[in-house]
Amino acid sequence: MIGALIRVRFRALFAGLTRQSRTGKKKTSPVLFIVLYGYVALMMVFLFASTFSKLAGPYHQAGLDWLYFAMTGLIGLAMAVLGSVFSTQSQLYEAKDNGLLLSLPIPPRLILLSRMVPLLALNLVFSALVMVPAFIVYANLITFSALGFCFQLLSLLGVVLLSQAIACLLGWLLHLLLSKMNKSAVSILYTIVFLGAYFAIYSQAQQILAAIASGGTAIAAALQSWVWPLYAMGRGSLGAFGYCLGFLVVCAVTFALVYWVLSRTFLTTATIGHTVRRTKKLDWTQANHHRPIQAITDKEWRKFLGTPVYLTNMGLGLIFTALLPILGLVFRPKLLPLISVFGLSGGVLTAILCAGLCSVGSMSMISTPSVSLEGKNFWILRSLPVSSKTILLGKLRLHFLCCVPLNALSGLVLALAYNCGPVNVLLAALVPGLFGVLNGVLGLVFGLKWARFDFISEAYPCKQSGSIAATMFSLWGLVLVLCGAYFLLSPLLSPTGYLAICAGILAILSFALYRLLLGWGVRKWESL
Amino acid sequence: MLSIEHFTKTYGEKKAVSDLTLHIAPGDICGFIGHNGAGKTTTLKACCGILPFDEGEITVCGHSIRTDPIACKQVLSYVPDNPDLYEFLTGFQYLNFAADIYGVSKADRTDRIQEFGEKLGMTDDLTLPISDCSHGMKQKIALMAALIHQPRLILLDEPFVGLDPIATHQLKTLMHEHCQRGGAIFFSTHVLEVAQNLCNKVAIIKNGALVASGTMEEVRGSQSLEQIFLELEGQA
Repeated sequence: MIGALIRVRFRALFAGLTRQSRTGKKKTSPVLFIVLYGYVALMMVFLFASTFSKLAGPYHQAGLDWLYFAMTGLIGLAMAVLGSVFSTQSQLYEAKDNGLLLSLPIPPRLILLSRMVPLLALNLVFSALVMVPAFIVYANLITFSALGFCFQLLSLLGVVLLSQAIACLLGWLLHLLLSKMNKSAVSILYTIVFLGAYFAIYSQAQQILAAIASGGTAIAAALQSWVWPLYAMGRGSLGAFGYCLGFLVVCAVTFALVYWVLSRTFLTTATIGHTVRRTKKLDWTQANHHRPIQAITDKEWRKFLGTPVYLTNMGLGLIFTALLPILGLVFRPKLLPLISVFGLSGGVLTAILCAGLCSVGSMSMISTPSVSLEGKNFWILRSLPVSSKTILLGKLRLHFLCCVPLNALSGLVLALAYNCGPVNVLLAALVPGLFGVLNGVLGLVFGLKWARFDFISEAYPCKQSGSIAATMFSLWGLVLVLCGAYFLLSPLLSPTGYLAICAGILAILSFALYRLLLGWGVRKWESL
Repeated sequence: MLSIEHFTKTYGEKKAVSDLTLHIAPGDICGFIGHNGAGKTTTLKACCGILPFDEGEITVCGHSIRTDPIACKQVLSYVPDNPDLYEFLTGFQYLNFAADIYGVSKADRTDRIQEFGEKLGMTDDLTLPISDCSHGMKQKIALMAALIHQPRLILLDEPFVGLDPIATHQLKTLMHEHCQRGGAIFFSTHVLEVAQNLCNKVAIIKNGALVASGTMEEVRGSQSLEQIFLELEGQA
């Protein structure tokens, strides 16, 4: 039975990559996405390899090799837990087929286990991205032993079990919290706190790394006395069988304990009702007549605000875009002397601002999942007397309203704050604004191209779909190409002139994609 | 009002509906009966423009659903068997959304929401998010949205499923009133007694082909609709 359940989970996962949702026909080859995700994975491997190469030497010289492995385990654990809490919560407790499966003669513990297996695979990927480069760095810089390497791989499995246990517990608590409070507010709060902590640590990464490298003895003493499993993991990774076994036992027991607790509560937690709200009096002022396109945009806006996974994944770019000018103003006294030291002209500064705003703005892909998110509601728009063009433009309008003015305003404020000059101020508003336009149109085109309506969780169209990956990588690629071209053309063109050309390129690309949307896009929508 | 001529729809190799011809005039309540998978939902979806089809022609008030879908949709409304509505909206917001799309004025929508809300016992529950509504409540909201622009043709897929007895009675009354005003209703059902008592016309579909259609009297003669249906299905 468990085998059948797991097969269904993986089949659903792979069907997302290989089959179209409504027609069942074979989709575009997933090779492109494998290449793109592979590229990101490779970048992360290099990042962690370079980080651990700074730790391996000092720790070995201090005779604290075990601490090196304990640190890899700790970072791998953190990466897996933080990366999978939301997925865990939605996959375990918000899967749309929970009701169906719970009505079948399947013990809830098996349903839970079948949902945990793909999550274990996800955690394995997260942890391996951190730990495997660390193992290779150690083998390369310090020493390699086959037994030690085997034990290191075993410790990786232990970390996966432990991280899954912690993520499941946090996901369970999060679900209980979400059932009592406003989902969107809790999700966005969690994301802001998480990202705030992440960026606080990231901004201090060098200092933290130096402290870890130099304060090895103190950290070792603390870990040895307070966090025995990490100590055991470190010693085990060096080939000490007893410690390795001890660590694995701790991980397995923790996982089993969490699994036991969650399986006992799965039925009640998965079917928990949301707090029933009291009925209010009808507000007839809401009954004002609006044009169809306005009605579609309003509907999209409510969908955006009312779908936590949509809001947290696509709204973050908006928050960062809004934060950039605030940070720019706060740090202005510190940054202005630096700018004068480097002798950055107003044009160069504007180019840097535009590159930054476009990179951050590429995270706000509001239009991309909007097609797939119609899901089971697709029949509504199809049965109403509204043209496909109006529907698509209504979706696009929300993206434009959220992103374009914000991008432009952020650029304007930053360029004014750093005295970039009148023409550059204009370009600082124009380029990010046009980038927002391009993001919206491109995202909607890709959203149509890779639309799927048969997802089990809304996390799929917002996080894992091909359209999201394609939009994100295309926009990043464009920013990189434009930055690269700037360096190539800098001897020939002033930064201001180059930015004007960029604005032209973005406008032409946006217009071309807009035409594509109104032609091919409308036909595609009608054929879905 | 609704004219279906030689309608054919295939899914890959499988012919879901084959050469179906049916006409529904103003004032008609036409019941559409058939076994599971006979092609009822496919036909209804094609009539309201959700589903493209291979052959034939469907016209609503003289407009082709193929070439002028917006004009057709403006005068019809459709309620599916399992109304998945926008769960992030309240019932009231959903009704206003539908009214905006149909271009219903503020005064008209206010009157109709109040009228249908009272008739279906939904007025107090319209401020609830649809995600908090039961299946029956969602069904009622979908019906209210379908009636908000006073359509000429209403297409209903299993409309009585999930409705409580009072709402079922109210829906039957609304259907009669609609047809008395010159509108028409084409609905699928498995409840043969309801079809026999409610409809003046009936169409029976089997494996995608229409096997009987006409006025209720023409189709059933002196027998009950259930006997006729079972005979046609080869189960009698």
